[in-house]
Amino acid sequence: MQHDTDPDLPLLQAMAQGDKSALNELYARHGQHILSYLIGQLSDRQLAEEVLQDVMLAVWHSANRFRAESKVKTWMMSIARFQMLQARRRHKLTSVPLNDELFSDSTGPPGILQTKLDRQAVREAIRRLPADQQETLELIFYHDLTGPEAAEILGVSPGTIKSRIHRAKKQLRGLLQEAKP
Amino acid sequence: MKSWQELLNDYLNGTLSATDRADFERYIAENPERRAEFESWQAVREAVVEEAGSRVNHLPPLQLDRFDVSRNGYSEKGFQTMTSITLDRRTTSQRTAPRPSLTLAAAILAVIAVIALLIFNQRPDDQPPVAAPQPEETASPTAIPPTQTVMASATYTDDQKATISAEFGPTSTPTVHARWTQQPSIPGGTVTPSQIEPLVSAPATLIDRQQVLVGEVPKHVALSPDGQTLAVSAQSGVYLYNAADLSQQPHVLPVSDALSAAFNPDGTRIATLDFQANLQLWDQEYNSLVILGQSGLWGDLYFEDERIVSTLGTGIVIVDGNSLRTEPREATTTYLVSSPDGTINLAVRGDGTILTSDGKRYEIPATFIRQIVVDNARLLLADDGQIILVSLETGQVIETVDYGSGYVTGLAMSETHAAFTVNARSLHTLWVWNMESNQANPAMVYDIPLLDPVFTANDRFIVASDDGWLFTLSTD
Repeated sequence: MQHDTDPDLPLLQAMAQGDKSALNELYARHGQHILSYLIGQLSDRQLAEEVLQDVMLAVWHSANRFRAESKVKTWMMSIARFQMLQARRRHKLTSVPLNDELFSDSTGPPGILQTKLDRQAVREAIRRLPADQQETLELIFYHDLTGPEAAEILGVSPGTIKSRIHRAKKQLRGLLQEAKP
Repeated sequence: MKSWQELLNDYLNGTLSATDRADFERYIAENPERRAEFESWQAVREAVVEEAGSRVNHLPPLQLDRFDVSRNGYSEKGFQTMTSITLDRRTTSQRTAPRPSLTLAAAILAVIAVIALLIFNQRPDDQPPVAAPQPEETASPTAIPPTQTVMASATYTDDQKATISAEFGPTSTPTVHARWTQQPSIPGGTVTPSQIEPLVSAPATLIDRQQVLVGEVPKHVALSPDGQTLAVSAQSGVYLYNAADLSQQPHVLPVSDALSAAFNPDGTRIATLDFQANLQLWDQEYNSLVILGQSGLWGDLYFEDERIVSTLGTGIVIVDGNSLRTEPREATTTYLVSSPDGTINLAVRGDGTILTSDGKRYEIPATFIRQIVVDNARLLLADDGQIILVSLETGQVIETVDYGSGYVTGLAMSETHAAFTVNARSLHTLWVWNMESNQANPAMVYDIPLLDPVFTANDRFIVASDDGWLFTLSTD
């Protein structure tokens, strides 16, 4: 897949030539989102900041190997997730099983949330979702990724992403109804 | 043909074209069930964005010293199966034990203690303890005050000890340190930035401060040519303030994810740039004149007569009445900058090579140029660890100032002073350099990143912080 219009591509090409200002620019564009993701997954800000440095180092080292088969941002998020999993292993943090086999492919009836939602209640409900669903929602809504891009980062099929979203929808409906006074 | 879910996601993420967006809105208006689903997901999206966005209030600087080893890369595939990679692991392997959490009270008490020490240590001549001494008869090119340390500590019932220290003064390298020895944090969250007071010392005086943005981070501050109006770019728009009293003007330019803004030389137009590189031109009445998508601009905007340039990016935009067109620029990684009167145009490479629009070429010894600013005769460069003042006539270095560790996030120059902000891990310092006496001093320490000082009038200047404050300081 070509991404000629990817605004990050010129930066990566400059980095491949050894340009650190391009690295800084790329960091300025995506560092905050990646750090947010890492904090969310590691629950340790200091460790997340250190892993972020490793992510950017890996991006720097690998810039000359990037072939634009995905967007730069997607590629960086993939590196971030890989580094996050490595950090979890190194620091013996509790890993989150992405056990999709536990769920059937059937998503049940369309999980339409019918009520006007209170934002705080929604935030609380999202926190109570299984970690894989939270991570998927965050990649799509906060990191502005498409389903296939999120699938690429998480190493699952696009169908799995769809089913996670459907399950999240269904569970959110239940959690929000539960939270109603 | 996209599915409903894909269209919904694209709409929620703001990535639909204008036509598709209009179609989508018409469709959900006519389909109550779809509308209900849309509204529900909109609420979920807002909550996810709010939750994820609240985790990061500032970005730590890159440890650039780690980026000098040869590449040994990642491929775009196979992340799930890679088991080892060759990377410099200094940071993570040397990771110390997690810092114990520090209570909010610890942070506040420690700040109070520092301030108290600052007050009680004042010398008879009323010079604050971190003030620079008077210069020797002949100022050296890097005049730096002697070492002076201010330290405060507080101990708490849970045996956690918090220390804040501020050390100002010369060593061979870094010349200034100030740090939170423990990050202010409380279980379940962090101290909200507004609870931390900045430390301000000579040569600056804090005149005014206003929190102008709440919950979002200013990205860039521009000053109108008449010095009257500030344009602050932020996620939700470009906000305008009166520079004299920091009061907000009623106009907000509705630019989503604004990156930077610039006034044209006569102040009748504003150009804005967003994170998608869309350039928008506004008239004096703040009506949008034209939008140019994918402008090729990036970084800080400057007007150069009828051209709009940016410090970074791949293009230059030509203003032709109310239309814009883009042209490629020579190098994607060269900084471009124009003097306030638009007569001097420079391209500066990261390695210190300077090309002037009249064909001169200068080589300034530099490691990595991050910020540049130019007036009608001088060029000020922020390099790693030093600020360099260069004569535009001769290309010679006039002065340099060492600022120690960290990297410069903002740079400004008046006739007699320069101000620059330095971002280091857990330390953010504003420096003021009196170019007449050649004295450079740290003038303000804050626990939040600072950016974009701008000089207004009477040697007053304004600096923004990532927690949405504008500080007006005087160098009198």
